[in-house]
Amino acid sequence: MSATIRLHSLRKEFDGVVAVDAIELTVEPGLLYALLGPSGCGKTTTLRMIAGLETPTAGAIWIGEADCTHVPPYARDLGLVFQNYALFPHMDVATNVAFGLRMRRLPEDEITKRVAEVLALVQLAGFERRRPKQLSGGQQQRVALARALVTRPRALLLDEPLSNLDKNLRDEMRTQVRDIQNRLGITAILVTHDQEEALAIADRVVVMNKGRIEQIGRGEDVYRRPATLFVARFVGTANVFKGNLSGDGHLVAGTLRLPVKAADRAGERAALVVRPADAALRPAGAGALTGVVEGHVYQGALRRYTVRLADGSPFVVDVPDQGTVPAPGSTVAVTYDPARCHVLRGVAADG
Amino acid sequence: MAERALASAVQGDEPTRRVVAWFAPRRWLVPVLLVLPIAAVLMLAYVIPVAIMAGLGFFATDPTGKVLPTLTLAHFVKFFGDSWYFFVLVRSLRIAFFVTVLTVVLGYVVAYFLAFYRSRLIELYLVLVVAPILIGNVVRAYGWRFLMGESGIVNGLLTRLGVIDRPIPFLYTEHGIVIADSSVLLPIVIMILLGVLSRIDATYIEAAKSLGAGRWRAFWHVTLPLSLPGVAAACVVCFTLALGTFETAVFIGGKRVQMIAPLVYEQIGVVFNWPFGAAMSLVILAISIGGIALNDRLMRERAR
Repeated sequence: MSATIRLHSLRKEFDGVVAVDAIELTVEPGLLYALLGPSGCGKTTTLRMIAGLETPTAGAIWIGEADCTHVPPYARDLGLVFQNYALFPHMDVATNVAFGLRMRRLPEDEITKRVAEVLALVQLAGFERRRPKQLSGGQQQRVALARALVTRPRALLLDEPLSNLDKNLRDEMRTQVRDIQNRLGITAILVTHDQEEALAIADRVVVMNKGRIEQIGRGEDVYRRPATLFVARFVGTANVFKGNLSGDGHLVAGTLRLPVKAADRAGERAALVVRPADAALRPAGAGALTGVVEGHVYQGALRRYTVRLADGSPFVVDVPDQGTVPAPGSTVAVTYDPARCHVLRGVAADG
Repeated sequence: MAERALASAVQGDEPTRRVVAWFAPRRWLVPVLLVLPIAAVLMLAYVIPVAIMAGLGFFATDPTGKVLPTLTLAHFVKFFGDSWYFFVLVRSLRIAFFVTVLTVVLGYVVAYFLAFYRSRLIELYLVLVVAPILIGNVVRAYGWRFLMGESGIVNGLLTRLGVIDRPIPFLYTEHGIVIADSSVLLPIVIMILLGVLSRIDATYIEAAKSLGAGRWRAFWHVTLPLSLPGVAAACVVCFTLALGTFETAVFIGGKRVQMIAPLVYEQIGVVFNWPFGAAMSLVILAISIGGIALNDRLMRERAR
């Protein structure tokens, strides 16, 4: 039931404009992969090529043990959930869900049985005769999921399935989608621009930018050990300092000397990535880095401070919402544990 | 207060400000005055003439066709009782039916390609589709005579190619009228269907394909049902216009294949029996309104 999906040197051009290029990806069976990136990064085009809705300009798509590059979408046996759900407005819920089974010419009693099963799975038993427009966004989303799963496809493809839901419902649906995917053990690819969503539910996160893959890895990998500056900045908030390694445990970035865990390779170009949560504010003089508090944004559990360092660069620090609040304009020291902060080696000067 | 603020805020010379100040407390007058001219034109050019025609159909006439001040249903009795008039009505309905079937089927195919196929020439195709509307019906009907005559282009070509050995009669035949009428109505039907088809979200069709439907089954189960309201509207418009067809009926049908619209004209413009002509046009009007009402009802039931 769940298949491996392999993409080889996949490339797509639209009227000569490259949308996707040099994609190499193996999606392991039973895992959920998230294609994460800003709009226009080629993640949806990649998904549409896997689904067969776009023809690659070059490269190959393997599903299971067969080359599917030129197999039409209706013969690929994949379940697809669209951003706008694309529920057929002229059919009720049961007819929508049964569509794929009817196309496969299954006997009617088998269809009835399977539709009931899958509607129970998405907790929509009793909604059979409703029309799509009589359903809430979350219910439509679950019908779309049921319709994609009822044919027992080899993999599930989800194109920004949660982006049309409001925040609370989105978190709830996210858990439900993950739960169902786990229970069925089905290979899944989810397209999203929401890094929080990708980190929360994916087994592997594939970060894309400008049509190319920047990094593939577990959520912790891309967050803690970003492979490129783009990944560091796109996945979560990052303070990035570019400079040269001193060889004695510091990174020299202009007039700043920043402690890093790497104590070798003197003179090599590198970048230090400090997550706001890994830094802290101390009274002036308690650390090597000093700066002036510009202000903060209250975020409930924490306050996000912006500190202007001596050389003029900003430093973002998350402080738990407790104790005293440093006033804007006051001078503070910024500290962080170098062991927790990733050093990107060999960074180009303009990166 | 808001009105006064508006009036005082207006820039301009004294007369302009005085007009604005006058209108400020009578704002409801503005939409009324804006609608008035077109409403007056419609009233004079459309509502009043139709009302006069409708009323006229119920007045008696003397044998010379002079209108008498007595109300009667005699014209309708005459129309439905006389086998000749009834025959012409049935023929007109038949022709309108075939025109509708032919035009909507052909129009659907063209509109489908215009709506779903990506092409850089799409705007050119649209211009080509709309262009015939700009040519007068009389000119076009004359064109058809050249094209479809015994020694016309179509017959000449078919004879030379050896497809036929005797010319196919088009002029003064029902199928000739059907073909000519379809060509007149095709652009209108295409525009109606294109409006509906291009509004169908392509993801519905993609969803159907991802669920195992090939191109034809995706069309049959998704695109066609979603476009049915447009098909119904196109049918009603096409049938109504075909029933009232005049130029093609005169130029292609002539005296041999009489249709209802020229017959009405004959009563009014030649025989000068206005009430009888009015009664006949009322029958056509009733059939057309019936079609529109039926379509309306079906659509409302579907939407439920």
